[in-house]
Amino acid sequence: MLLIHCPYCGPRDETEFGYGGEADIARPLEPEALSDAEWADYVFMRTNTRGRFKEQWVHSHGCGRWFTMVRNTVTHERGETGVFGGVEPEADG
Amino acid sequence: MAETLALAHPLALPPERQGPDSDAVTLSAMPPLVLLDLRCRDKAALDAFLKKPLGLASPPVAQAVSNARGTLFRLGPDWWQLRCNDRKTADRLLKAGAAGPVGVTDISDSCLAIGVAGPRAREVLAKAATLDLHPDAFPAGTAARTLFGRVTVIVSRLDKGEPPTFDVTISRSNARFLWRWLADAAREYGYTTVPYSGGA
Amino acid sequence: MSGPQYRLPAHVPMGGRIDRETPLAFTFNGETFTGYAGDTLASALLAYGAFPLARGFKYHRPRGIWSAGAEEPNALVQLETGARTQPNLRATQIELYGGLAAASVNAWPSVDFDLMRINDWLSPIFPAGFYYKTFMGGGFGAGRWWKLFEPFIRRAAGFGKAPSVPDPDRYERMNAHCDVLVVGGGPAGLSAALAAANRGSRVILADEQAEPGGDLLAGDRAIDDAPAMDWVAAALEKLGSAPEVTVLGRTTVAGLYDDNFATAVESVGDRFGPGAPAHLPRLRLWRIRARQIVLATGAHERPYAFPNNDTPGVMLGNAVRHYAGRYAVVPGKRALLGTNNDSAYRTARMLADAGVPVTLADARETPPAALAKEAESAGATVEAGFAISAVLGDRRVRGAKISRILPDGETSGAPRVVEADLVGVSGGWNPALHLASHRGAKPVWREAQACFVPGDLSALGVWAAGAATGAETLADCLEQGYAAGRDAARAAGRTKRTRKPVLKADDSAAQAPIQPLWAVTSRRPGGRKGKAFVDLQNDVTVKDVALAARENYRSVEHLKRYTTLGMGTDQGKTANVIGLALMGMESGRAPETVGTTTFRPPYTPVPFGALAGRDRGALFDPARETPMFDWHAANGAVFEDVGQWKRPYAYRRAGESLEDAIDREVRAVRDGVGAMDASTLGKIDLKGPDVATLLNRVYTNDWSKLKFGRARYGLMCHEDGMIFDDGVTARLGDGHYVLTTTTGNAATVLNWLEMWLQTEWPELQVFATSVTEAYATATVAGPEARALLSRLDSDIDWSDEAFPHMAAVTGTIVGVPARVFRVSFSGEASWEINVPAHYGLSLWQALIDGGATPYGTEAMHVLRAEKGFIIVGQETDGTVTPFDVGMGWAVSKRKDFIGKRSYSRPDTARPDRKHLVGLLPLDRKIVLPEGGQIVADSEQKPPVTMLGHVTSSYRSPSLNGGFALALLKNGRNRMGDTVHILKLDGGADPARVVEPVFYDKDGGRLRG
Repeated sequence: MLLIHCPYCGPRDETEFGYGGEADIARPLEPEALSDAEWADYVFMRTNTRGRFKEQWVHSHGCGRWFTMVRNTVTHERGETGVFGGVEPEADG
Repeated sequence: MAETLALAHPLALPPERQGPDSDAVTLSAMPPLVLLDLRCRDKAALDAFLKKPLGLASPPVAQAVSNARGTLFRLGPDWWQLRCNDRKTADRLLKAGAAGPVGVTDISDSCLAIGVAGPRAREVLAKAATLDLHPDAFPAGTAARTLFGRVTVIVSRLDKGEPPTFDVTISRSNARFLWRWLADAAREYGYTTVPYSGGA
Repeated sequence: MSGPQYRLPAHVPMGGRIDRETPLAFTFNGETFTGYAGDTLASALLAYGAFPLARGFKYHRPRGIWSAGAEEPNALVQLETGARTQPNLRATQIELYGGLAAASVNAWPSVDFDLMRINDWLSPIFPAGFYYKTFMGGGFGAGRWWKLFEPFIRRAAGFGKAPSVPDPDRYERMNAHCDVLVVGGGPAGLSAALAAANRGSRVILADEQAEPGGDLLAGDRAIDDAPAMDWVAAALEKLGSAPEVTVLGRTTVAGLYDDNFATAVESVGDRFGPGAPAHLPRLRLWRIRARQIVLATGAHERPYAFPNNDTPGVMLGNAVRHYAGRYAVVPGKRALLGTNNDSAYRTARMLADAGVPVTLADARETPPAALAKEAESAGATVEAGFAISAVLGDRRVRGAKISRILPDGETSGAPRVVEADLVGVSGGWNPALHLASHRGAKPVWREAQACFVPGDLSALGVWAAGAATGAETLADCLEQGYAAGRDAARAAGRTKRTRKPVLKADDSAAQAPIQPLWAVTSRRPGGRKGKAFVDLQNDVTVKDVALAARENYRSVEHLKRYTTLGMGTDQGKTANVIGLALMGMESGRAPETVGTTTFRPPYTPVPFGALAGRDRGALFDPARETPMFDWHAANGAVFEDVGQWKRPYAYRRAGESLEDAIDREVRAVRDGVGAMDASTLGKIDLKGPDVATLLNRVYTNDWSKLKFGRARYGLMCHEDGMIFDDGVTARLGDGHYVLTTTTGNAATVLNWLEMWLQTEWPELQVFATSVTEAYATATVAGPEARALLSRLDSDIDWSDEAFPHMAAVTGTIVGVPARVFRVSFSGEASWEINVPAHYGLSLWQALIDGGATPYGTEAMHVLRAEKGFIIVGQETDGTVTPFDVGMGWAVSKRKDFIGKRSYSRPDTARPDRKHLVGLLPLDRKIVLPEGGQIVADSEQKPPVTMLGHVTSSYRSPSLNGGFALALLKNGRNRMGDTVHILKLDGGADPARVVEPVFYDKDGGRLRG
């Protein structure tokens, strides 16, 4: 049972979070301009990394924010977290 | 036909006293809430929006502040809930929200609040909460949205009193489930329930 | 059974943990015994002698108590009977209470006369791998053999019986947090807890025994020249008065997990038996999140193997010491101890002091002189260079042989017979590194002590101390415990400096080293007679391990699975290390290269009740109730679970069948007016200037032109183009919309919107707030709905001109603000009335009083299916596009939206995909089975060509018969065809393919 450090709420039990898979899968700006293969790559293909892996998580039962977190998929060791949309944690929060 | 529809509170249930020491834990159903959901990307804008009608500034995430008009819960960096002590404040904010940078939504009937107090209150809640409720980790003013088993709640401790009084906000549909769950969890110590009995 | 003749008389200063003033009567296998408060079931039974109380797993040989703790492989019992019965409990860990009733397991028909003992005489046909070879192999008839033998094998192998009636007890679950969790309350654990507490840490000390003290409970140790138990008492008092310390006695830490999460099981009411006070839980499962963990879990003594080492009366040497010191029980009149290390000398001393003649066979040629001298002066006989080579007797030890031992375990010269009825064997110590293994620490072989010690886990905040690290002296245990407690507290941020106490243990001197010895037997075929057991619980012998090695099983994981070594409920606590050392000897490898298997939680078995906790009965899962729930419950509603919601399926009146009730409800909506509780529909308020842009991106259709006061239906898809939700969204004002979702998807859709808004389109100004619970929703539908609504006290104009189909109006109903949407899922004129949830019950009553017939979800399903309206999750399953269900009209060609690009992928664009169609069974009296597979030719030989399946199927009072919706390959081009729907019990029902709209095809009724 992981103790996940939400950038906004601090350490919380894994059960409060939802998993969003690989991070940095950006939606193509012009899907119609993509080949079928390129579109399929965006929709279906993920790297499934063994080792350090940048993922998206959402604090569904807490602050409701999505964030990114580096996690080692072998050891569960956690690395840096990142936020979306410039919603930075406050220094006192 | 009646002039207005009648209000029904899910926690208008028979009172109970159980267990070895019925003063160990007290569960109280609070009257219906006047509750606003507030969304804003910018804390300064939120503070400006609330300043006149409410006179409270936003606390950090997972904390709450109160005054005579209400209690402001900070659920996330861009998310607040305001429990108003009167309908007038809520209406004023709803009206102001229609134009501003703050999304204001009336969610009054979506939640109920349950007070959990007494010398064993902390232990009863610890059966549900994975959060650390120790006074050092959960001082007065803490208000965290979190998971109690399989239901999402906002658990808060609004005053410094010891033994502590916790305030648990729960969605309306789950209120009876949580009420029964907490009572069952308090059984080994003993408990008294104070259900809703009308009036605000 | 004669009296407790093996309980030492009261004048012998031993048995410090029992209270002779409080005798307790109990039964075992129906016979009555007496023990004392403070006894375990094992010690109380041993007071009557080391008689057989169990049978071996495979050969059904008689077995006695082997240990004094959690490592017990033999003495598994069934505790109590009826609803409270518990199988496979270790007698060594059951605290005695008055009236306790226990029985043997794995003995058929009884422990004294066991029919399965025949397996012992037949043992040549039960070698290692017997089950694999006979039943699992691909060879001739393997499956047939299994069929024949399974019932016999199941009965023979049964370890205890699960209760057959619901458990009447309560189980609690408690979450806890601490700076330092100390596991184990022996000298190292107590020291660690004191050190951490001194620094002001929040400490939890968990100890599995009836009282802390660990090895000191034997009562023969001294600290500061006083009985060590005085120090234990003082330590407990200190910890008890520290405000931030919790001492959890009778609590076994069962597992360690990521981020120092620990689970522990506390025996609360359990130790009182069935007479426990009613308010107490039987067990409490602790879920502890610790910043730092100190493992002071001690060590398990291991035996060495020799022929007939499973005879009752053979036990671990240190267990003999503990039974004497703690409980004043020595289950023999003359004792033989076999050892290869120093620890047995304490046992010898204890026995000699108790007046029991003892011979100590030390495999080492030169035992430590001081210890040997001390033992001899106390009356023991020391035989240096000797090991136990055989046990005489069958159901009890009648004597033993000792032989001169060579370094490889072979013996030389003729054995000597030693008169003994109690044999203690002491082959070294295995640090209890199970919990470290849970956290991923690879055990490290320590050659000098011939044992595995836990690998370093300090980077994860896990520290080990005392015998758990291989420490052999009390001085080291105290020292290491204190250091670990201090380091752990410091790592947890408790930096207050404290002064280390100076303690004088009774054994600071270094001792003579162990001489590894694993088995005294010939591993060669046809060697020494009599089975020498490595794993007593799973009946794995030295020969089995040798056979596995000869058959070239090299990995310890394969050894385990092939021989079942270590696969019992004890996880091989006393067996594993011997097994892999023998494996190494056979294959010429050192133990560290053979490796160890990974220990996994739980450390000792955890009852399901403790894991379930409060998740049972009415509290099993949250039951969400709508504002109208009480009315439904009081008026015959048959509920169905939709997600966690309790929704009325139908309202049954007296004398009515469920089918009749559904028919009546359908007719009421078609002919009059019905009311349905639709409060469970997901409702999301959307606010902000960019809502229309968001809707355009997440729904397939165009939202740019939706006017105030109007509503529109939308389909939501994933990027693969497949439908995942649908619902109506209404525009209530400038930048204010309310979006509805299906009941099951309310949270999913909100998360979906938030994900896109936060991660992909943060520039959009949209606030999404769930208002599902803020409103109660009643659907009022039917030709008489308008008339009913018009009679309500309301400022809303219900006329078709003012309130047309797909309009959204806000107003007041009986003094309460309402949002009303004119939408129809039934095909009739229909209004969804939303009022603040607390007024929902009262609104509902007003509708019923006004003449509406309440209808449930099943009538709703029939009504919508007659109209061909899909239900997401029923007509769709994540492989269905809007085009597949004939809703291409809801897909915009002018804008991009999530999933659009996928519609031009070749597979998605195929014209012959599965399409939504209607089916009318040729025999209109039948209702086709939902999920039924559709084929063109019901006579086709396998493999049969599957064309699709029935998604919804009902009996319709309006259509006078059965009808169905289905997904059918190329269905739109099969109109009028006859297809066949396979039945589970064979055969098929023919049905005609029709358009999926059965009722009011032009929609005149819903606009009426």
